[in-house]
Amino acid sequence: MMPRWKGKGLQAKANADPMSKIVSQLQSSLIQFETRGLLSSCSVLVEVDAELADLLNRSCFGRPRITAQEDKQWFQLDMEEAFYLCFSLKCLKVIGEDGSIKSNEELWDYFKSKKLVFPVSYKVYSHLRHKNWVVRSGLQYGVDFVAYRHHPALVHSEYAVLALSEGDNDLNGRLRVWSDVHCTVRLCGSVAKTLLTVIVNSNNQGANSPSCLEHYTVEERTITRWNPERSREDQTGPKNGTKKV
Amino acid sequence: MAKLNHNLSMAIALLSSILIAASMVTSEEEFMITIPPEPEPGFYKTIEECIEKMSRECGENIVKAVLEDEDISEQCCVELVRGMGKICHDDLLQFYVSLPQLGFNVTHLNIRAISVFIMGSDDWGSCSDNEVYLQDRNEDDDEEDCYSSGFLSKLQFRKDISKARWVDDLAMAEVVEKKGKMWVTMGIVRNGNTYCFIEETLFLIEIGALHVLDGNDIHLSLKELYEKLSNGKSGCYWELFEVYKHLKSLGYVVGRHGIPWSVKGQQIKSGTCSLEGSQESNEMLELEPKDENSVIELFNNMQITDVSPAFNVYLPNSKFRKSSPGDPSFVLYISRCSPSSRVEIEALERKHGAIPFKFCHVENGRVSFFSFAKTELPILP
Repeated sequence: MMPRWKGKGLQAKANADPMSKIVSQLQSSLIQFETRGLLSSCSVLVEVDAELADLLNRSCFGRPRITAQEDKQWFQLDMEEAFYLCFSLKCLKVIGEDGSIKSNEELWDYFKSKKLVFPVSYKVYSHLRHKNWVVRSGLQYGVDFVAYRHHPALVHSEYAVLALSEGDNDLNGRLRVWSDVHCTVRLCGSVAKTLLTVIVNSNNQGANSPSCLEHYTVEERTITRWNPERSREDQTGPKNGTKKV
Repeated sequence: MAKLNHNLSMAIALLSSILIAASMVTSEEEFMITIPPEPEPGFYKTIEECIEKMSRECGENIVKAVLEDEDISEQCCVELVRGMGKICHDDLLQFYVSLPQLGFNVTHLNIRAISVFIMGSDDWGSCSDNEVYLQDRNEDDDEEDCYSSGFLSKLQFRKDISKARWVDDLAMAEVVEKKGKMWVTMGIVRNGNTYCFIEETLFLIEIGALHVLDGNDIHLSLKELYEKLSNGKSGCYWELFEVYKHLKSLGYVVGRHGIPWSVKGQQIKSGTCSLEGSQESNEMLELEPKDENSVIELFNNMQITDVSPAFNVYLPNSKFRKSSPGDPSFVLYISRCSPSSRVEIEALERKHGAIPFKFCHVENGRVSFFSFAKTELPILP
């Protein structure tokens, strides 16, 4: 499926403003302002000024909270987003309920306690973010994430992502039966997205600490439905990479 | 003569012109018909309105195209697809088929043969490939389609019907008399003789293109052949047959995986049709294990129990030749229980190399195809 840009000239706009640059600007700004996040159940709240708010919006981290407060803006980060900023980009520190800064290991344990599959879901999140894709929650589509080539205002998301695991950490129960495959593929199709499974193998490293993550391997697979009524034209043989079948 | 409902006179007139064109009746007077009650109120009015959307000339053109394998004229394609539309087309066919009794002055044809030929073959398919549907056909509206298209799909009338003899030892039918063009893409050739697997045999019988006899030259009924499919000795089972039929009806060339289409100078082997006897498993056993890891890998490969490679599928291609079929467009696996794991899929990728493969899931008569393709999202700027 080709990326569907939301208007003329938006692809050029996106190319002129690469996501990697926006994210690195965010990273340096967060460090500069020594930003602290507040841990609150499954979210992390951050209070930022206008410049940081703009960077958070453009890089698609967190959701702004509309408040009456004028000079600062509050953002709400998901667990994966927060951990990415803390652990991968090392630009955010999170304060726990006791007022002290949580170490990465403490955050990891905490998030794992809230979400059993956090190690897998985080690995997938960070894997795609590292490639400069914008990754947001896919809950309303019945999947784990949706992935965009750039800001959602510019482009529709192409992929509905399921974070699956194999090996000793096999907690995700998706796509184990055919009816789930039918359901998920159909739903993705009806919202014009391709189903992407990102399969994480922990390679028996366990999940005791975030340092285990670098030993996990990741494989991407798309699951698509083939419609025999549609592809009957005689095309060149299987060696042609652009074949529609 | 049954009293014709005035409202349907045009529909019946079209039908009789079809039969006259096929020389099945000599004149309209000989054509007697009983019209059943409407399946639902207003249906016959719809039928009449549908008929009005097509000129009589095109109605006959389409019939002739079906009968004599000619092309439907562009003008009539437009009339059929744009003017009449798929819904009318299907309604009309449903009406014709519902007629319980077509009495006419011909002895050697039976009602089933008439209804088979009336349903035509590719008149819709060959027209609509070149035309745009009037209404946006939503693939999700399959529910009705599965009744209409399964019912009406691609039954072909052949004036001349091929003949084959069932050979119990082989669990295959040996073709005795070939009629029609389908033998280019069906049956395997061994030493100059053509043999059909049970799914091919059943498919041809269902569309009225084949008569099968047993060893004593007695006609085998469809029921007896369904029984042969069910007894499990022909290397096939119901769901495999459903997939075979689904793809064949759409024009694909489908052959059993691991069975060569044509072998010269070699008699047919009696184990040919059994699923386990396919060449693939023999090839796997010949691999020399180099060390313990690859032995385990070999073992894992052989343990793909949930899926079995069923068919090699080729795109509809008039240039298909059994003597040199080339690589299939894809290999088809039928999944019986649950979707395959990544490990299983990887093993299959290693096995098939450059040739793509797909999974097919059959349930409740519904055939769905899925690809599980490895991919790598690009690193974006």
